[in-house]
Amino acid sequence: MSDGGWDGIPADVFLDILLRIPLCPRRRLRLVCRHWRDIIDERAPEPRACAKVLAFSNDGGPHRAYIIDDLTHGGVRRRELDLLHHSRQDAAEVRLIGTCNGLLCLLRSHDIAVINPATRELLAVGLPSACYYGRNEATYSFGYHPATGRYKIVHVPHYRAARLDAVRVLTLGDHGPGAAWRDVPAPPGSSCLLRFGLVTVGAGVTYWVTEDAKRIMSLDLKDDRVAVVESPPMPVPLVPFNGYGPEYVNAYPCRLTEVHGKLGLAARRPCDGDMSKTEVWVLEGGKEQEMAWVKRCTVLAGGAVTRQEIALPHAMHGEHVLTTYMPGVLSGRQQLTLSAHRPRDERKTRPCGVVRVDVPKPETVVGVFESCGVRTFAYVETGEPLSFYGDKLYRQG
Amino acid sequence: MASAGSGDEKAAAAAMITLISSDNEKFEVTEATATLSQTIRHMIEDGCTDGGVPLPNVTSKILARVIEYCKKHATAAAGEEGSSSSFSDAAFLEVDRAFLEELEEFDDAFLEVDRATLFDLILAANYLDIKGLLNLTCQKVADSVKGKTPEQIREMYNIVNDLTPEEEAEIRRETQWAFE
Repeated sequence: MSDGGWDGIPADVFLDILLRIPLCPRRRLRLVCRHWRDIIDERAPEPRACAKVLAFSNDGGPHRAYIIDDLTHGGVRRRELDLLHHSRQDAAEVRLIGTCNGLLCLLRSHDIAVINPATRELLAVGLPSACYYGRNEATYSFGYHPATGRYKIVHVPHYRAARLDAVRVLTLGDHGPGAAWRDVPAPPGSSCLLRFGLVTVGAGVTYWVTEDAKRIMSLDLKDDRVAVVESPPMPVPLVPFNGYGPEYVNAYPCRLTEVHGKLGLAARRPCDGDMSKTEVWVLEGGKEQEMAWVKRCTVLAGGAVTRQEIALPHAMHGEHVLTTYMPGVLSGRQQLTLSAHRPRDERKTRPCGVVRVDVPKPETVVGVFESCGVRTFAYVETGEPLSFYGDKLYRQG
Repeated sequence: MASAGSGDEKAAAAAMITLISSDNEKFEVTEATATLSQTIRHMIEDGCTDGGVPLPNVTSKILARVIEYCKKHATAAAGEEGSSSSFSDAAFLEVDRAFLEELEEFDDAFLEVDRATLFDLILAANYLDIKGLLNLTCQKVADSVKGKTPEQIREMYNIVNDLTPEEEAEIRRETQWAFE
């Protein structure tokens, strides 16, 4: 009969086995060998998934998540995602930690919930600590390591700390009752300043900025190792303190962001006059190649009253740069506009797209919210079952 | 009356099927057990089971396990059918739950086999077309792959990685599909 291996297994049976594995881990199995790759590509291909922009906004009430289906033509077409709230309190207090593939990681009043709105599944895990920082979504990041196929929630237990001893990590699917958050020790000299973000990028690495705002630290989700990134100096100096002088005013906002699966930095330059200038940089290289910050695009916002800012934390989506616009208190309404722009290469010598923004134009507006703050994320609708990762699962009909 | 008696004997005799493994071992099983296999059910319907059913793809070791599975599940199925008429609904549900729990325990214990046996069971379940057994064994293999890195899977199943570094890099890039 068989030699205990896959060779003798008929293709139909192999496919039956593969289809029992959720989409994302299944995609990863293409790395096993050619035979597996070919069978998955030919017989169990992914649906033509394309990431959409998810806007998280409070529209004058509880926070809601909206999907923006099309960025190319402007026009406000959004649909709301059901966040599977159990109670009014959940709805009132919910915050979005982050998204990963088709899963949303929500910070709620008493727990953290990972949900798949497409399958209406919800997996609840306990908070790492009851203290203040455990209740601040900025101290969390949600990520996926493509090689291990594991989703992890990362918690840095301080917003700002000159000494960081450990970060806390929870792996979905690992937690029996009680066992959940693990301490991952940080090497001596570690620190954090989460004002500049806590971001997990596609390769499964979480990044944050050190307390002096000069270096970047990383947590590799594969082996849970914290290290200082041997990156070149910040392309735009980050100002670690809040202050009142003009140099401080213009230093905000700067944030780590994910740009096409890599670590990016969206940074406002101190700038003269009425123009504000925000640049998006990407940390290229790594592994064998030398690391370098490469400027991906520049957003020039004109006008003294124009309050057009780059959207965060998801600033670039495919070819588009996302910006938000607030008309200001004088207009009498708290209304925020989300726009998507295609950068143009203005200089041939060094390719770097430029976007000039002013008062929003109808052809670039993709969303209008009755809100003073909208955060942007990427979302891919998938049927990925959450039941794969844990048993504290609720499904809503 | 004699004719009726011989008819019963005939029915009893016809209810037993002989399965012959690839190493020529004979197994006597009831028709109810044997017909969990769609393949054998079709052979019985076609009337070609006289003199035993040769199964050249299944060794005696594996066939013994497959029969063990089928006996248990055939009993369970018969128990369900029989019990529905003689119990009240509540009692029936109770019995039903006990049956299912017992069956689940049996399935768990049944799957405690080495990897080669598991794969042989899959092949046998596929060949004999036993839905429940194929479902059970395929899920077991899917679970064994769950949460493993490609390297671990290769090691587990002695698979040679024949992807070139370029192909591997390409797959890794594609895996970051969420952000385009």
